Amino acid sequence: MFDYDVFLAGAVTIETQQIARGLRFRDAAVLHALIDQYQHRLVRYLIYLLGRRDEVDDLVQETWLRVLEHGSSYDGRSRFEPWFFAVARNLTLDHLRKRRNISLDSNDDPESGPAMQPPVSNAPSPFALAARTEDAQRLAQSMQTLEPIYREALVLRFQEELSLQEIATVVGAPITTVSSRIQRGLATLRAQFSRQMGEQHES
Amino acid sequence: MKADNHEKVRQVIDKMLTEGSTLAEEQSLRQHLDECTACAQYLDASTRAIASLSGFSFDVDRALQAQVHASVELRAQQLDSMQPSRARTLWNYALALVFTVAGSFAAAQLCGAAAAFLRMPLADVQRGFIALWVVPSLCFLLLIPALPSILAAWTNRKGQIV
Repeated sequence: MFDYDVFLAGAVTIETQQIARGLRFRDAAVLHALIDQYQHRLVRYLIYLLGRRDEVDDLVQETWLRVLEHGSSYDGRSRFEPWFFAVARNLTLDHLRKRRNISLDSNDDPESGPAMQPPVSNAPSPFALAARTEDAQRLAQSMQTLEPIYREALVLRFQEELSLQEIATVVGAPITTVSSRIQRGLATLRAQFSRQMGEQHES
Repeated sequence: MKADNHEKVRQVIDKMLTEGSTLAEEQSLRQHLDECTACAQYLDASTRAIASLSGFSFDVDRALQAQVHASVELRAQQLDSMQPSRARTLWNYALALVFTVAGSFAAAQLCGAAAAFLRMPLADVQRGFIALWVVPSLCFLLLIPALPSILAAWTNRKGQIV
């Protein structure tokens, strides 16, 4: 009998091996294909991480340059996405630390780290600008005020569809911490709809 | 699962949405949700919140896309030009070999003088010379062809923590 899962796993392996080889030899075709494929997802991830749009363009460019320079550290044995988002994340943290001149030693614990908290911006919320549905508009305010670590967990789990293990790899935290971040983020967003549903139910 | 056990049910819902659930958990959850409007609303609100995340659409600037392609291309060319060519590596290796052999030969000539000066047997001075000069020089020489790989491995290790 044809085992679709085994076939799919094989296909994924071939793809990741091709990416790894392309990055190792700095194959221009592979790099440009990756940029086309992941640019939109990178922009989205960085906006979720920063909660603002104005610094994203620079970080996007820096991320791709870092992928080019350190691409040989991706071995192709696991999916590309966790490695890629980890590069973008670490670059963003470096950037925020430099901006705020925060000591690296004081931010080992991401749960307590002010390093994840980007500086306040007066620019309009990127979530309000990007909301295309009524429900998204309803969530925009909560998304803006939600802690970056929870927004990050939500985007990686529900938009990027990474497994808990993969998210743990990206954020460098235990799976239980990742799970609790997702649940806390979800609880904040759910409150928007629970209230509305409750009101509808009462009326 | 008892109908009044809402808190537990909501934990199962959270777990199901976050990391998946077992068939048994899903069955007992379904039974509870058929009877409990509050928990059914909780699930609805949760799934609606997750679905709403797809309602955000972040535009990617085409100019940025072109800029990224161009800067990556440029950086790749710079990195390629920084890579030492094979011929240059071989030339460096040959030069290092000549210097090592010539240096060792010249230094060996001084063993007799060193033995007289230190009032030590010549054989001991020669053994010391081999151990402290010739062997380290040859070991360092052997490392030269492997240097690019060692440097790449070191950079890779740094790359993982970027």
